[in-house]
Amino acid sequence: MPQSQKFKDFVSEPMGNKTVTEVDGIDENLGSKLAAEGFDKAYILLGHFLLLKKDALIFQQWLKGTFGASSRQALQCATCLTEWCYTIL
Amino acid sequence: MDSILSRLKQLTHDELREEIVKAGLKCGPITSTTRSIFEKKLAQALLEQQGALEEKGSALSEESAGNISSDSSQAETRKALKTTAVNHNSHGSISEEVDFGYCVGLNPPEEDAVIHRNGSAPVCGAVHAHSQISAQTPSRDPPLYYGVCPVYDDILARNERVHVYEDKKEALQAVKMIKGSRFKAFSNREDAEKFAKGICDYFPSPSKSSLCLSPVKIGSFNRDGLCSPDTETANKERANSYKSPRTQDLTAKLRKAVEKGDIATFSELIWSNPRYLIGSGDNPTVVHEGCRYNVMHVAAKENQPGICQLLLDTLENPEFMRLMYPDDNDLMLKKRIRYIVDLYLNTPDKMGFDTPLHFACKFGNLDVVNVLTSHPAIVKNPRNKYDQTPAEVVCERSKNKSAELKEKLREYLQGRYYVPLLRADDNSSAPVIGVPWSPDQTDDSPQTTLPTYTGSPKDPVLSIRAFAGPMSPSKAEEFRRLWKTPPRERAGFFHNVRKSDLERGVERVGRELAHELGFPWVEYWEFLGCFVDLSSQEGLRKLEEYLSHQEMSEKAQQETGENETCNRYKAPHPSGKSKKCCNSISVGAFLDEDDDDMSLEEIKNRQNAARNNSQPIASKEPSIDALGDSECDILSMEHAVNIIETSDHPRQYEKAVSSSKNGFCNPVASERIISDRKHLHDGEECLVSPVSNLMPEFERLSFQEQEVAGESNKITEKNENAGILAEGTSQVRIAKDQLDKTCFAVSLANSPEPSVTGKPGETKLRTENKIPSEMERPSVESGIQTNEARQCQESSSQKFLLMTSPTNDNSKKLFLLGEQPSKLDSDVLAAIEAAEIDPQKYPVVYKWKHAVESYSSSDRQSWPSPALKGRFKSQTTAAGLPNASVYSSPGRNSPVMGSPGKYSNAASFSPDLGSPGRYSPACVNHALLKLRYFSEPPAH
Repeated sequence: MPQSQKFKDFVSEPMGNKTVTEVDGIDENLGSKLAAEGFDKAYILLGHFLLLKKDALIFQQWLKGTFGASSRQALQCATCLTEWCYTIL
Repeated sequence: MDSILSRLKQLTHDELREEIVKAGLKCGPITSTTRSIFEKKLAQALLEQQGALEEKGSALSEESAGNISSDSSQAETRKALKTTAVNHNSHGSISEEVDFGYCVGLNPPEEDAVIHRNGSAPVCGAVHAHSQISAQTPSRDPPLYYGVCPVYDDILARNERVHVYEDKKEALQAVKMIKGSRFKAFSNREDAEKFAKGICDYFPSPSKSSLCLSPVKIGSFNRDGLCSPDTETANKERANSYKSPRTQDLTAKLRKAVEKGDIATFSELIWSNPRYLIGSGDNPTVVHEGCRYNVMHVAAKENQPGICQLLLDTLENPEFMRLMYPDDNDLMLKKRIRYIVDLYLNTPDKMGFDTPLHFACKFGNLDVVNVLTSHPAIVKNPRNKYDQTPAEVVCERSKNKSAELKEKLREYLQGRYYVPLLRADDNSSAPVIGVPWSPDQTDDSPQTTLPTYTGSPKDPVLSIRAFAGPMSPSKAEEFRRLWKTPPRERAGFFHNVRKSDLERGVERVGRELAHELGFPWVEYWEFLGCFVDLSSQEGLRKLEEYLSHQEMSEKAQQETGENETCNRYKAPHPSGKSKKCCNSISVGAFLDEDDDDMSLEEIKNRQNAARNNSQPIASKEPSIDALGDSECDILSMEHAVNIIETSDHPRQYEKAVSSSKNGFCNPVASERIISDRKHLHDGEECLVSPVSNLMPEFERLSFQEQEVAGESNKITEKNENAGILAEGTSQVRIAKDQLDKTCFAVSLANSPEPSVTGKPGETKLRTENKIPSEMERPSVESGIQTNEARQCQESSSQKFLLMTSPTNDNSKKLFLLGEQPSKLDSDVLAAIEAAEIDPQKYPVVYKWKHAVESYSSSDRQSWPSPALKGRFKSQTTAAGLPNASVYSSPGRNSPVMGSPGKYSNAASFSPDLGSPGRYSPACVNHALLKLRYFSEPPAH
């Protein structure tokens, strides 16, 4: 899977205060759903990802099950966060 | 509360969230772990909403809630304690000789041993905490003995006692006391003693030997837990007393400052400790952990061109490197500078392998790109993780930037080119407009770019006299073409200029073209000794400086010519402000006055004598009277005191009095005296050009003002003199403030004064007070009987204005090269013609401009050009002469240029962003040297 620009942008910088929609794979629609559940910032999503012990599969399932993300979206999001953690953590 | 809680427990996540939002609370994700917290929070809020009605109930329920929570928390802490205890136990039992000495009493991992006392503290603290925890655990574990082993050398010279402790605290204390020692826990005392004696199991740390090989990498050595004297010797390599800043300081303080663009804080930090910028192994410090950004990354990302420039300037300032490496020789320092500047410019970050240039391009930070690309050491096409060059990522992160900006960014990335103008030093051959030159192209053939015509020794030596740029290569080419063959419609004019003005004609053409096209332009001015665009603010500032300096020295020279008293004046001149000198000066001045201007003085004397009689007790000094008037009087007071001190001789004293009445006796600042004397000469000879040294002039005027008031007041408070003296400085300040408002007016008033001074009696009074009457009214009013005086002033000032106008014009003027106008004046005038000159900001330039403009243009053309000989003299003395310094010491990096305090000013080029010339042909020497070293493999 070629990495999208969004992926690059997210992964190549500190997370700072980025919104959740800046995470790769999360569009406006999914982003609003996440924000409604309290996941409005990328770092909160990362927090959950970490709570799930960085397990990409479970995280994808959680995204799909809770927010109705597509498998593709979930995969992108999980890859993105994994990659970010790999570089920064 | 209970009921609410139980109700909330029934809700689903979503319902709970709704409730929370309804209650006006913020809601994060609700999970199994966070849910109970949210519930409690919500319950609390609901309870408060219900108000005080259920106060009782709430108290109860809160109690219960508190119990629950405290219970759980207690349980948790207990659990935690247990685990630590278990950990500790296992620790102790399994490996009994766990070396607690790791890192204790030693240097922090990163930097150097200099800080080891400090650095050990936190580590000890940690251990300390740990020991406390273990203390809380049941004392089941066997007693531990802590042997403290001093360093090897100490063991040889070992004396009395063996350091074995049962209490870890004591052991740590001992470790702290004995420099470089280490300690270890043992289960039995014998082992501990052996260890402490260094008999068993002492072996020198393995990295000890490697230390000598790589003194820089003390870090690795530190970790192994030994701090031997070797570190001390190693530290001499880097003999500076700076401690490496803590990571928190780097990230919190330094990065914050960079992100905010807080230049003041930034420079304060880095000058207070160069290690803020220079990390271990001369690498840039990391101010953002994780992605490993250095200052340049952050500045580029946050669009802080000022910081970028300052960073580069500071790093290239040898003074700065000198702070870090006081003992290095110049060559080494230069290498280090090159090394770290290169790293700062071109280090990729950890995340996307982006260089600062990538960041600046990505975010469309034009100014930063400008700063970065202007530096010759920048690599313009590094590749990041995705194999992109900066040009490829232009504005990737800020899509809404205009296409124009993108175009400009790309242009900057292409390179910065300059179009130089070369002239023979003696102007014996025609000037040459050089081919576009760029700092980073020189590595191919450094020789060909500069002196293009070095064919034979007979050929004149060419040097760069002016250049336009930076600009993109294509534009540079175009500009060059335009410069050589101006556009047809104006070709006639330009040709005329070029032919009629052999010395600066081509420059003028280039200047006009560059300004028209918006390219930065600078040319070399011998009298300033640097490359500057005179019409820029920077240029005007320099011109202003030069002119006022000229004015000062001019005066000084005149003084010398006068008579022997002047010598007395001249000697103290350099020390300017010291009162003693001034006193003698003022006396000298009075004497002088006496000699030259007897008749006038006598009139004054008589008047003063009369006045003195009227106030016999008081002071031998009328101006003392002024004291009662207002705060401003303090100034005059001070002068008065000085005068009294100096004028012991009766006759001199009378002089002093008289002159003080005229305002001549203000000895506070030597400048003032200069102007006074100047004034005198004007009165006497009328051939000295009056110089508008506004400050002193003004001081004098205000002083006189007070005297008038004092005269009418007739109050004497001599006692206060002493105290008032101290206030002199603040007085000066006040005067300065007022000066701002009136400077120009004063300068106008300056010249006509002599004519009035010549008249006896009240005229005197008028002259001096003309200006104050307008602006000092408040202070005058504070006096009781000043009305009279003021009226006098006002009327006189009116009269005065009439008198002023005719004399004003023709009074003496100062030109760039002395009293006579020269071609240089008209050249400079042409250069600053386009610029708006703010009389407030550049009073002297303004005055000069008026003076020059008062001549007709034909007059100006006939002005003699300064003799070539003179020109050469000034050239050779000028520090930044382009040609002379090419192969000698690099001007930019010479220590003379920069002092830590005001480095930005010290650089010969304007510190403004994007200002031309920073890495321009003028600095070609610098660039050349740099490149020469770059071609070698970088020294690590």
